[in-house]
Amino acid sequence: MPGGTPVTTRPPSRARMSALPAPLRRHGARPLALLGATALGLVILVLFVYPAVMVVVGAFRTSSPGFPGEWSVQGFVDAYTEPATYELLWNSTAYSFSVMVISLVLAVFFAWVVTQTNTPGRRFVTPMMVTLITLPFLFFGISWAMLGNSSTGLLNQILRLVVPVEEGPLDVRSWPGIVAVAVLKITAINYMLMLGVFRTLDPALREASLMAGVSRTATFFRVELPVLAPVLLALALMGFVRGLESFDVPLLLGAPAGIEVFSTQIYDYLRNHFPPAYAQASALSVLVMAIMVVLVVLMWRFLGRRDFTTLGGKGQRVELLDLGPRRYLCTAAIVAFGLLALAFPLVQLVLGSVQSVFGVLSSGFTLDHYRTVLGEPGVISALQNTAFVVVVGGLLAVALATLIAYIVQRGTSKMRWVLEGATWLPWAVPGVVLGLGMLWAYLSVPGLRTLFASIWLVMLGLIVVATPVAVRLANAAIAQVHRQLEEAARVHGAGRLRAVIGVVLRLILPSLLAGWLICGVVMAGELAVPVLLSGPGSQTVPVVLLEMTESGRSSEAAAVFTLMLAAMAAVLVVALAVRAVGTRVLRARPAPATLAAPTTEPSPLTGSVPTAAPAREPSPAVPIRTAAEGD
Amino acid sequence: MAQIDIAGLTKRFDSGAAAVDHLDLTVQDGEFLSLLGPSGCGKTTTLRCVAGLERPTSGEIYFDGEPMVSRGVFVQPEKRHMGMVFQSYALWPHMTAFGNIAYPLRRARLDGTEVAARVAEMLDVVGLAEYGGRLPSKLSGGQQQRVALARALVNRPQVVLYDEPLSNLDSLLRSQMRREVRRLHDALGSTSIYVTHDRTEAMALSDRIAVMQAGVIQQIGTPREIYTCPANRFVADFIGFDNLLKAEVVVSERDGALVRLGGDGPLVRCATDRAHPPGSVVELAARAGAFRLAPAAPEPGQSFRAQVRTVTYLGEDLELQVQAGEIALLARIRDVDVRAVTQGTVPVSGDLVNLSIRPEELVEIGA
Repeated sequence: MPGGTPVTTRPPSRARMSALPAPLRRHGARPLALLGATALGLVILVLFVYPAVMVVVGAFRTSSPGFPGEWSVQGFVDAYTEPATYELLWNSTAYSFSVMVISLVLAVFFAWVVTQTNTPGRRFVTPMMVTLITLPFLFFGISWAMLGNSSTGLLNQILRLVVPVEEGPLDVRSWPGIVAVAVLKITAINYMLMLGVFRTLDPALREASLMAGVSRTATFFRVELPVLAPVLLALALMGFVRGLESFDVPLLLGAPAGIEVFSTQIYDYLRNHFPPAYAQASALSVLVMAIMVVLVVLMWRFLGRRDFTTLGGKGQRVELLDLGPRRYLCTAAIVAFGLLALAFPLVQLVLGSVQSVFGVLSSGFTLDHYRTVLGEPGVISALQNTAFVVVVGGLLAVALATLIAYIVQRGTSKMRWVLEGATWLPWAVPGVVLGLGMLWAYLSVPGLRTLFASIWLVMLGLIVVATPVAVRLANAAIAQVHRQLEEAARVHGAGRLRAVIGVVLRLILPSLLAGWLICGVVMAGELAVPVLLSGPGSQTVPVVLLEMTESGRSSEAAAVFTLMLAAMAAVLVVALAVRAVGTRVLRARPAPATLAAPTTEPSPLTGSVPTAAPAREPSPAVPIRTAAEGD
Repeated sequence: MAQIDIAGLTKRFDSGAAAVDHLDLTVQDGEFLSLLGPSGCGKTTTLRCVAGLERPTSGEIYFDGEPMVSRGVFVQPEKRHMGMVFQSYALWPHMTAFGNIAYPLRRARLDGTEVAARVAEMLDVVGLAEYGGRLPSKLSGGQQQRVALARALVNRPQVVLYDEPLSNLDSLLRSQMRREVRRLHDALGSTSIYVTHDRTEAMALSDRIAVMQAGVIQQIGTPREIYTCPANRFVADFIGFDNLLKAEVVVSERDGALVRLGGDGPLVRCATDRAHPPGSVVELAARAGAFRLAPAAPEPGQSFRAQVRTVTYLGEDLELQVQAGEIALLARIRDVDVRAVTQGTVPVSGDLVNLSIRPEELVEIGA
């Protein structure tokens, strides 16, 4: 009798349910969770919001951070009565705008070439752009300062073989020069963002227009460009923000020629005034922060209009556009960009490090510069400091970011918005301003003054710099793990912590390791924050490089930079090798014993996730891997 | 207004296997033809080749004798003057419903008042007269579908292509939109090619259906021909014959045959036009719904005895898995009919029942 069976089976199951102390546990867990969230909120406030607030406060002080002083508006008066400030505002804006427009056009062009056309060599563009993103701004600044030097630069030496001039013909220490060099890297950043957008755009939108009798070119302007408009606008704003923030390139290339932008002017107030003009620097920073806030809010609004941009596609194959002979022009553009952004700077750097006399090809080659720098205690300690900060700080940043991302995605609390917004703050603030803020923030607290110039303060600063990137990576990774995978673990007897560690963390581990690597790269190449926060003995490599370049030791700087790049490349190769071996081992083994052994927990990698995850859920291993590769 | 001739159409993707394999097809002027098949059978690729969105590896396509694809000729999609409804609707998110529908007219350089009048008429036809000002994201799925349909038809194209346009709608909307599509086809008199994997949709809409599998047309014919006379096992299976059986001819008669199902199965009568010598083996197909419960004791050729394996109550119908000799059959019988025959008791697993089937419902495959 089918109708009768449920009646006999239900009561026992109900009895079993009520035997569990579920309601009790729930009441016990809530205050703890609240406490945890509050603690995390405090950490985030202290790390990300407090320094920004202290910049504003500091602008009204008459003294240096940590010294007794008075409240005053003198800083504002000094900074804003100076006509140079308004010239600076105009210069910075013009510079940022140029960088934004050129890099956006180039990024759209390259993304279009790669995704839509049959241009030969398009496969090499993405790896090239990824490499460019990995290289710090400092790399472009230092190598192009050498490359485009009007007398000794490699490029000029070659060009002078054809062009009959004594000096030049290029001088990178000029407005066009710094714009061009900054564009090289920002194009790469924009390109990677454009690529994703171009790939997810439903090809049927274009096809529908073709079917309506409109040519491919007209379709691009009438359909594809308008559909992408909000994203392009957001990218444009992002490019503008990056332009305003840029420090390394204007400092290395512009400052020697008397060219100043916001960041370098703030730095100038702190470094080249005695006593350092903290109030003026802070007053100027307040203006920069205000501009940034407006830009970032605008950007969010454009990106927030989601319904405008996403009307899903099937991810169909796209019939590539045959450009005919013009495709070789596109190839030429790819090659030219590759040469200018990657090949020439690398060659110049390595060549410069082994030339006996910098910039003189006939002087012969030597390894003396490497011997010199490796004999300098300052260089050795900088290398050690950088390694330490990158490894430990990178790990801490990823850990913090994972915690934030998990709460943002899984939590239901209203803190979500605040948490995520706060971690974006350092992204929207130029590194110099962040460094200044951290000086005010920590040196103003009596007990923390000892931190000044210590490696710990440098590390803290770099963690703050790297966290926005890390949060984005962790967010993407956690979003790939369907909530039901975690719920399935809970239903099948795992506690909350075990479910998170055994399932979620286990699944996103490859992405987190990749995130660690990326944070390391960001931290190792950051100049603005350590240059303000470090002292003798706590310098990182970029700070040493800046000092060497400023004192004209180009060969030694090239040698140190080559060493650092070699070390980064070595780490990358090892990481890739480990990943290749790791995936093979994980595939071969039926279940990862270390994590799944103690209980009846499911093994996510073998796909034996129990019944609660229906068959139509994507296999977890695949999206994770794509997420890691998308970085 | 346009006849479409496809000859030797082949499309190979990078991987090598042919998605469409030497396909020949003629769509008559004003005809509504469906390409029916499971996913990956090449139906969408064929459609996209006709549209010009895909470049065939080889083969030729003509509209009214004019080459669209031929040796050295490839007419770009925008020059083919067609309308197309996409599976994802492909409405441009930055244009209103009105803007989307007006697009083909504006690009064809019609003047403003003419455009406004035709779009308004079209919006009226698809029942969205009040929604012209809305962005696609503010329309429901069914409304988006109507806009896509209006956009495809507004410029009165000679050829209209449909790429599974109704697959994203719920079943109620689907049957409603189906009638709409057919009505508009009749009103405009265009030639239509319709890609679908839903056989009911193909039946309801089409003048002719081409059933595809592995890049090849398996059978082409009117819905009735396809439904009643499947050309091969694939078509029979795909078109909904639940029971595919081998049988041995016992007696061949003028308008049918007495056959034995399987080696030792029951004797039944089937309809076939061809004469088979006794002892030859034929392939038969029967729908689950063709079986009936027979009240009387089994009588060779009329009804047979079978043992019930499982019974599934489907509401209106009762689905029985039964065993007759070595043959397993699936029968779907109206619940009231079952109860009428058995005086109210429902068969359970292990019971013996008497089943009958009409000769014309036991069809020979490939006949």
